[in-house]
Amino acid sequence: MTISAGRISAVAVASVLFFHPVYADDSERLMELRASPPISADAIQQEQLLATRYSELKAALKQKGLSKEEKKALKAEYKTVKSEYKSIQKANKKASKSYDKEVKKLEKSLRKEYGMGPYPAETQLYVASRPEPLQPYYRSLFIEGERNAVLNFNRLGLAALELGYLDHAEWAFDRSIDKIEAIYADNEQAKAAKSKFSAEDVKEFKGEPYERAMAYYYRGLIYLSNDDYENARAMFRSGEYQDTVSEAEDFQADFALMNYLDGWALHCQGRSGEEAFAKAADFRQGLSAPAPEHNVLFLTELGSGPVKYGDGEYREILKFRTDDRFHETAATALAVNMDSGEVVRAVDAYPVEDVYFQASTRGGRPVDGILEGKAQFKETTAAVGNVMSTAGTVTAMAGLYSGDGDAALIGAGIALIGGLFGAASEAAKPEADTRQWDNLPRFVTVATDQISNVEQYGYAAEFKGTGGAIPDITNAALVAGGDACSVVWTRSRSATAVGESSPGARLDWKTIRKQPDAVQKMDVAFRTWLADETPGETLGAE
Amino acid sequence: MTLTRVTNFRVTQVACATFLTGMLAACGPAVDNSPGVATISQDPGRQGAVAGVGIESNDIQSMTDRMMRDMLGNPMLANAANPPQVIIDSEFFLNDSTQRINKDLITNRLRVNLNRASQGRMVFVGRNYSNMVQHERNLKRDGVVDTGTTGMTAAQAGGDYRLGGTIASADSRDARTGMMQRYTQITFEMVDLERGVIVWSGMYELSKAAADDVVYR
Repeated sequence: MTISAGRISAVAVASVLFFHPVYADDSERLMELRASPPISADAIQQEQLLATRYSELKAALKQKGLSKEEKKALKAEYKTVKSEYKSIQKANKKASKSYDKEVKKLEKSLRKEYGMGPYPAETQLYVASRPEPLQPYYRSLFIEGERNAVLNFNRLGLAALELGYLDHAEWAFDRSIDKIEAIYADNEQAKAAKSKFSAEDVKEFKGEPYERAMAYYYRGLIYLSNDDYENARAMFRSGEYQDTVSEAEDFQADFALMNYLDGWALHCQGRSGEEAFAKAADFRQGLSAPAPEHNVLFLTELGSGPVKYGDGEYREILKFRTDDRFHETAATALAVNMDSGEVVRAVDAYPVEDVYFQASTRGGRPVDGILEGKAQFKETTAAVGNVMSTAGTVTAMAGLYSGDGDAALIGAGIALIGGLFGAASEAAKPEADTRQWDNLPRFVTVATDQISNVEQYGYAAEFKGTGGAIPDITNAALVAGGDACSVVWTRSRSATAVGESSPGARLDWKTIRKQPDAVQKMDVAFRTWLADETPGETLGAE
Repeated sequence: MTLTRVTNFRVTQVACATFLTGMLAACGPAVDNSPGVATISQDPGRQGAVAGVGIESNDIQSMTDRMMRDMLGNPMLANAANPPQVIIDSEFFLNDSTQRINKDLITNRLRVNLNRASQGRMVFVGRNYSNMVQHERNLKRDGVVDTGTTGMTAAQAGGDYRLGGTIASADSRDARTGMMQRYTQITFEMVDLERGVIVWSGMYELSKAAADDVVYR
């Protein structure tokens, strides 16, 4: 049977005419309905009062020894009350039924579009009570659920840190690290990620080791800004520990930035950080320890972090490339007189860390073997399917031409099995997980100096590089700590110059609503938790 | 239909059935349908629902209980003719581990339980409240408020002993198996605030190991 173009057009027109899109106000209406009861408190009270009076009159009429007049009066009242009671009971029942019907209809319609949610009005309600500049990150966190929670906590935390919402940044990185440190054993989504028919990115994102290390780095930076040097040090050491998974021994625990900051945290405590500084210098020649009298640490971040991509026939090999849009490779930290604008101090910073280097020297991951197996399965089943389909079709055709029904049947059977192999190949998903923390920097530079009365100056950084546009002098995003130990943090590229969601990280609604019920219910619980736990609008930028 | 053809046909059928069964079985793992977990009250003395390789609530309870018993058994601290004045806070209790922790969780529990159990055999100086105390002392001496009922002293209480200590850890990882291990050592010491000698020491050690699922290693 063939379908004419005219028919297709007619179907398309009919689809347009009869397709009722789900608008955001459907979820608003549902939320409104859920917030208000179907029957007003007055109507319920009225029904209860009438019910009581109705029972009383019914009992009173059964009493013995009533006079004729009393009976007559009671009967008249009974008749009126009964009528009113039945009337309001009916009205309330009708309102309740109508309410239930509308709620069910809305739920059905929304569920068809969004699965278990979140529905637009829920997202809007959650996001509206957060600081406006952070709302895109909170929206992603709310919509993308547990699967991308660590990724979104990290993106949010970094943006909040740059914008001065330190409480939000602290909360976000704490929650991220809670999840990074949780042991994922017997986790259903982790098991699913190993299945041949599920992609690796169905698992909850924890990030590659360099991403985990950077989460610790930023949390440590916040501790530094709060003068909590012990916990800052714990974070930097934990960050370094993340780097111990490298396949090649040469690259294990070579995250010099973490060693250097470990030393700085000790320096701020009035202890010797020599050992940690020396360890950092082992990996970065020419990196020197700060002078004992130095009290200000300049951390300046340059460029944009590594970009993940899937290599191989089926994109099953996780690889990294540099983001070549930005070209700054060096920085000078500046202290500026706020009245005259005169630069009173300029310190050349040392590029202590290349985040791309950390990402690309990790070596193979244990999960790569699983992905390779999936790729082989996909390739083999495709090849077997092709051969069987061809052989089966040829046998079936030969059988048909020669009038041999059995041969035709066997051929069809073989072709069918070939088709099933082909379908299995199509269904196999060997792609590597390329979700990435996209507002990370490429380089982190360090410099230290002795500056008394730190708060009297403004701070900025000047950038150098070749091969493209270099950003202008940029003001520091964070200046914190007292005279004893301060930190100045500057970025050449804003952490907010990214989309609402990390590229490729958010699932479309069709995929979201088709996720297993258990996963969707877990996200519902996550959103409930978020609504209770997230810092609100009241915490302003500092 | 010849025997060979029948056999071939059956083989095809069996292959089909086997393949389909295999395909269905391989179509993904069984999923947990548990609809999240509502808030649950947990016994902080037992391992909680979320466990890692660091110090957890049950460790804090266990270590502070043990240190408290040990201190109460020390004659210099708990059996002196004049009850010693001790300071127990986190000021000199150092976190040198790889775990972020609020040290007050440990020192507060230790102080509160010691105070309750010692029943006057030790006197605890609330050094963290010294500003509050000084404010009230000033008001009394300025005549803004009366002298109260316990009388006035020349100065706030000084400490005879103060708690010091360290939380330290050593982390290791087996790159082959992905096994992570953390050995944590918490030392507690009571220091004589005149002579600087350590009059009591206690130690609590824990070592935990775990491995993430292979997809996270």
